[in-house]
Amino acid sequence: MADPRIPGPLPPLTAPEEPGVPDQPTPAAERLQAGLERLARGDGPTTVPPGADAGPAAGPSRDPAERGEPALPAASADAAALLALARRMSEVLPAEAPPAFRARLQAELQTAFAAQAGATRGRARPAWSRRLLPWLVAACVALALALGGTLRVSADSLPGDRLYGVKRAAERLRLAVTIGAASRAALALQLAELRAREIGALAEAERPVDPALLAAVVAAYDEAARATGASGDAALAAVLGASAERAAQDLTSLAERADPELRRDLRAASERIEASGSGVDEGAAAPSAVAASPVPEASPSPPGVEPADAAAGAPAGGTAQGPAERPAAGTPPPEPSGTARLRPLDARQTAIATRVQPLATRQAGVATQRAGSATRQAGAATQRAGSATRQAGAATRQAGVATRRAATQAPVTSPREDTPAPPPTSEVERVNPEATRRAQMLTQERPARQTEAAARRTEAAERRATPRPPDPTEAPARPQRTPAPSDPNPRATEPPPPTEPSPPPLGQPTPPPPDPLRPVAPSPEPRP
Amino acid sequence: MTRDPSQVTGASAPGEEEALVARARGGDAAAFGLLYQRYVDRVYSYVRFRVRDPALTEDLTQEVFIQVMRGLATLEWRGSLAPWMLRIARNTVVDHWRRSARRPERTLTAVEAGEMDEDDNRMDRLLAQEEPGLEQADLWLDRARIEAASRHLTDLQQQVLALRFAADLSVRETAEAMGRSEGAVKNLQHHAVRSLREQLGLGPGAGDAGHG
Repeated sequence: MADPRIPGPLPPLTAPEEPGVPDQPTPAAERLQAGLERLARGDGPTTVPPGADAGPAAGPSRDPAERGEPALPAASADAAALLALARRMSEVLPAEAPPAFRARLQAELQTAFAAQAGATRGRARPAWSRRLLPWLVAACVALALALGGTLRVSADSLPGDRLYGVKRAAERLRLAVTIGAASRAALALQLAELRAREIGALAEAERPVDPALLAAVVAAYDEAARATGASGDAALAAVLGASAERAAQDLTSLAERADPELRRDLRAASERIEASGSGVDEGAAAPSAVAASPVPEASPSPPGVEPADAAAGAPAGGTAQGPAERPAAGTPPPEPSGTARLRPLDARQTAIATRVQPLATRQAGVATQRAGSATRQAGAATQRAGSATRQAGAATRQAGVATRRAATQAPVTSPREDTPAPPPTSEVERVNPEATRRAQMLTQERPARQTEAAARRTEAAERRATPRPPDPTEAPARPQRTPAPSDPNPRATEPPPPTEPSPPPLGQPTPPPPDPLRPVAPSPEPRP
Repeated sequence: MTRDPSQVTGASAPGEEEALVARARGGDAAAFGLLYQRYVDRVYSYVRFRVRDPALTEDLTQEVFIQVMRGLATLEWRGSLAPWMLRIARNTVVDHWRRSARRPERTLTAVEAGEMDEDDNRMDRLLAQEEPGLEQADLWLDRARIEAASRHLTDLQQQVLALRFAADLSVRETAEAMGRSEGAVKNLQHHAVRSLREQLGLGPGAGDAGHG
């Protein structure tokens, strides 16, 4: 077992064996080290000179002979043996990595190194940014969460609330990032309706309505009109028209109980909204007659105008309701309030009356559509659907009236109502029954409150319908309408906004309007 | 088998290694390749002595150089790369053992088996050669004996032997790589060599202690 190259057994050593590692080398350790170093330098033989052993070994000199240490034979022999073993180890233990492995590893490493170097150079991110990055990410996430929460909360805010600004900003952002003309138009319309609802909600909450908010509604509808025009989507234009009309009606009904100043603003706003709605309609669908005519500014009649208008409106209510009457009657407890607009519109409407037929059909379609979408919407949906149905009925009626009128008395006052609902037309007949059915269904389905209200409304409408010209709303034929006492302003009513808002007619107290709870339109309680 | 000192220490020119390191830090893959060539055998030898399994040695050697590659950017230059490099090798081996600590028995047996197979294969190859290459045969035999005997040493002693003789570091470099004083390293080495001699059956009590 003994290897010839390794020294044989030697006399016992004195060196300690303990596992602990003292910092100061023992003499024996020092001697071994010295011998190895000599070997490494290539001097001398393996054997340790006799004197090497005994000395304190602390001296810097590596040559034991120089140190003059006394040599102990046994220790020296032992040291020599150890040194020999150590030397053998330094010959035997170093290995060479297998060439294949060596080459492969080098190739891999250099590739990885180049990639890493490229990556680091590309990034060149300082150490601090590496430390900071996780925090930045965390902060962004937290911010996003907080923002999301804020947006959700802000969605219900009203003008004047703290988060209202956030809400508006989010809307603007949404509009800005929405791609596609049709999508944009749809969103713009949604936002416009939202604006209008906000006004209603404010009024309902008896909070002050800043005229600037009215301007915002108008601007929103203008924006929607622009977007719709850009999209060139006739259906969308029709929806917009209906929506604008409804909004206008709501505002008008609001005006009834508003302070005079605000009333004027409200009326003006409603005119303009209606104008922007109908403008697009016509632009998209038909001659631009309406679009051009600035219903807005001109029409807004100051509060004072009301009475007169109402009077004018009353007669208009007339005959118009042919087939459509039933449904229409239920719905349109027209709001007398809107009178102010009649004048200017009349002219326009007369012009338009001739082409009303097609428009009416479209409108009816739109109304149905709207009714469908309204159902989807949460609480207010039902109400709105009801109004849509009413609208459909109105449209039908309108169509009938328009046709008749076109045949006979084209001239004079064509209710502006016709115009607003530009789209619908020939389909009226078809749509009509549908609308009626829907209205009935809705009435049944509605919550008790609503049902009551609807019933009341229906009653009133029927009452009205019989004695006098049935349809106040459509008011297409104002002239035809005999008794105008109760229905002042057909037109305003006609596009029955989501609710039947203004029951309390201003001037005219024929209040069929039991008026329900319309969400938007604050209460129909006449303020003035 | 003894390495040429100049190759081993890489000291052909004092500033050369530092220059290579600087180039490698700048992204010079070729410079890194030169550093690799300079140290791969020493790292390989160290790891091999510590784990005694050729396949595992290759894996760990690769791991060491990957860490070297990553650590180069933050290296503080202290005159020589060797202590730093071997320190990484030492830590890599220790980490490996920690990771596989759950199966010490199996690992050990596998290692031993692998080692013996390897040696048998080498011997077969040697014997098949026309010229036996006695010196090589002796060398492998002695290495096998020393490695087998060193298993009975303490871990620190094995580390010292691996650094001093397998990786061919100086006492100072060994001390630096191990994070100990030079005196401690000398003592460790002395005791390691002496225990080894006993384990080989060459020491004072050879008659009864010869395991080799």
